[in-house]
Amino acid sequence: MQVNSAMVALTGESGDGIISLGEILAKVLARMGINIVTFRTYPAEVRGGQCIFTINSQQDQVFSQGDEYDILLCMDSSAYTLNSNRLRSTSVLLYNSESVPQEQIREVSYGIPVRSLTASTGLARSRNVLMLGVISKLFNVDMKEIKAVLSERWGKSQDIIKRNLDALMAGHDWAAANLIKKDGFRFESVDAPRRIVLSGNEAICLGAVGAGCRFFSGYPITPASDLLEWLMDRLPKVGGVAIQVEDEISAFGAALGASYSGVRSMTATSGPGLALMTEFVNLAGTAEIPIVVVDVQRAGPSTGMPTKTEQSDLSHAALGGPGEAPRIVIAPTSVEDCFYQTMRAFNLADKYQLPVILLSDQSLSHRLEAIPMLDPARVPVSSPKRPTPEDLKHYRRYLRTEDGVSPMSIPGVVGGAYVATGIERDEVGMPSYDPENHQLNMRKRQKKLERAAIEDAEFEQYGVEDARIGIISWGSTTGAVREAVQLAVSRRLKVTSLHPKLLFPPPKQRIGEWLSKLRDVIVVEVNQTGQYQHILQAEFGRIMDSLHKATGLPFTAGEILAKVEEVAKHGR
Amino acid sequence: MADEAAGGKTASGMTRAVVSPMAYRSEHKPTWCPGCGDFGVLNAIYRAMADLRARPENFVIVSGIGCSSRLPEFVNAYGFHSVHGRLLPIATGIKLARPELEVLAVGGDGDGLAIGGNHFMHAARRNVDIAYVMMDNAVYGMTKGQPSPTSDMGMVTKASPYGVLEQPINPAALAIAFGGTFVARGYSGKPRDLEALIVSAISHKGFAFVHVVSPCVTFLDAFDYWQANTVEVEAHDPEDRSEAFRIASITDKTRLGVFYQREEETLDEKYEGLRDRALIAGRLKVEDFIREYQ
Repeated sequence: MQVNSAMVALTGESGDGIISLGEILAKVLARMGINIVTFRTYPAEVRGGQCIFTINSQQDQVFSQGDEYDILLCMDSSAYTLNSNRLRSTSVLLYNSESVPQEQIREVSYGIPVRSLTASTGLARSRNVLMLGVISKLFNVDMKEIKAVLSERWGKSQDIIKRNLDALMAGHDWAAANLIKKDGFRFESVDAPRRIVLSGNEAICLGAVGAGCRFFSGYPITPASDLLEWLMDRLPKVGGVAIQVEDEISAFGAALGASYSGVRSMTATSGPGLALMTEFVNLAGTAEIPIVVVDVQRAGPSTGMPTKTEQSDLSHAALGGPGEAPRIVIAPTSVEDCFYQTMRAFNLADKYQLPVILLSDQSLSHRLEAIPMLDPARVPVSSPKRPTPEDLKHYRRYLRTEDGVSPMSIPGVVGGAYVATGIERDEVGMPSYDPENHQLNMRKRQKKLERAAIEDAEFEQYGVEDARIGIISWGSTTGAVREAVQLAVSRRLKVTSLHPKLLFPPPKQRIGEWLSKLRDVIVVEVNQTGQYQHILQAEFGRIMDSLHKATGLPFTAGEILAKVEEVAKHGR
Repeated sequence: MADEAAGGKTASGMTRAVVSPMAYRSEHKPTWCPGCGDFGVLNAIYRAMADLRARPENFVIVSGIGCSSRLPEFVNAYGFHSVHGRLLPIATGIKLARPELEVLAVGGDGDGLAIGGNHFMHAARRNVDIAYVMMDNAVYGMTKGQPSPTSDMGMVTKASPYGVLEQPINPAALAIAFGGTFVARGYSGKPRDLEALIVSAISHKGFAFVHVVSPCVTFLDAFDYWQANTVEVEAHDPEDRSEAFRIASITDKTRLGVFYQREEETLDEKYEGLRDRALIAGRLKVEDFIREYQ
């Protein structure tokens, strides 16, 4: 019997309630003390097309979305055709016996007559929860926790909650009466400290509120719209302002105006929106106004595949824009890290008075993880550099200071009036085309990045000390790399991995030291052209190996392990 | 400089003492061509600020790109000289974040009607409490003479050697259609009237739009035309939107004055109301939201 360790895949048509089913089951398993990482992929349309929701559940720690399926639920025959190739010999299948032709099925399986069951009880709309009842009975998922989660989710409507509890019991009782256990999977509650279950998008929103963000403006775009919706609801409850505006340009502009006024501000978008914001990114950089921009990347180019994942906005985020203005690009590595890196993003933006672009992606945005209670106190909110009374006697907004950061006045401060501008200016802020002045200002602004590369080089590192093979990756790919490194080390391969949070400017010293001990370096990222590889190669003058893919799906640990084994065997 | 303009502070943030328009001049001298209509607008703004006893530290002037968008640099107040066409999103953000500030957006016809046209519509329909002065010279002056959205059909320039093919836009009529709650037109050649319009626009609660005919001496010198072809608006009900639209659209003699004015709840007021309701159970903290995910 395999207890608490199973890769669960729930599949069906968009409209079958697969995502809700997955979210509920994930939360219940987490409350039973089991670790989970989820992944979802779904069509861009509201109805039609296949959804997959997977839950990688493990008794021990789990860092990635997993790979082959142990338990597969198929709501219809298309789901079976699409997903049955990811089953292994030990897997178990639950299927809609009125849709999937039984002669095709080879696996240990349970057929469930979904339509008859829901028709006889009038529960067609709750067929997902009916399946949850079956799952609960077959795999011993805690019914008390399921009922609690259902009540929290739909508790506001007595009708809906009753319908769903009826469906749950119908599935459970039918399974008890009709199915005989013949597979090897089972869940059991374990004693574990209480955790929270949330997505990457939710963790970013919490981080923003925790960091004192009190202004948000946004424009709907998959997969970043969750941030807009969440903050439209919550920001007024903390005394802040959130507004949906007419496009991403306006979203950046409104947030920049609010930040100019002294309020911590953020906008959020995906690749196409970041493209529209690009002119503003360099205005913020040269006018030296802090702002946080979240880019929840999706598969491009152009419209691409809006509901699929990719790490392909890095070059644009780091280097895109008219002329050369400083900006910082950071990437969180997990749901928990989404919270802390977002908090950090606001501090960095304030510290250096520039835009900070935080790169998440679709897979991380909707990934659920069970994580320890978040602690905002871990990232103390810093204070911005404001002019002193002495500074205000002859205020110079763009004073060229030792560290490149000038005291920033905000409206309301007597004697602190200045004009923020994208035009080159003198120290006071008045337009200047003087050659030497321009050179000094370019130098001043660049100095901030040189400092950030040294002072703010946060990272994660895994594997063994005396490694000769190194994997470097960023953002959501970190979990799969971490698991691959564990597997490689368990096979006696000497491997290390490094995951900088600060992508741009590259933390030269920290990465340089790590690189110097390695024979082979593999850069792993979800894009076609190896964007991070190119940044690193340019910075460190060293050819690196690249493992990249652009399928719209995240890496699995197995794919990375295969590459490591190949490099270990043959060298680069 | 700021102190010269500041006298005894009143509850409304304005001073009681009489202040000179000169107090609002910055040390930076205007870079416009001698005779530019924008000088008239700048002087009207200095005078309007003096009339209102504006406090420089509570006054923010936001602009985009173009000759007229250089204006914030010439005024002793906070300013934001941003990128082309984006003055209204920035002004909206400032006002929502800090409703106590007086926010004035200034720019040209190309800035506000071409590249920034989308924002004009949405700032107006939101009725955010800002004033927007559009200096319309019907030509791109800074880039040396291309046709703008308000250029007449047939106008020949280097960029329209066969004449402009498109209809010109009527900015004041648009502002009325978009839902602006104060819409007026002024002329830089009549600075005293313009001063009064700007005072009314800044004092108006809601999105106030002043279309200013402000000719370009270098690329489209039309002073003589406007001197002869503008008349005061006739008496009418300023709350009558259809009538306002009709008057704003008259082309044989272009009308100057207030076309439309109506008090409606502003976006910032609505947001305050929304927030009061959201805060009824007390101000929440991030820890309260984190607990939702247990």
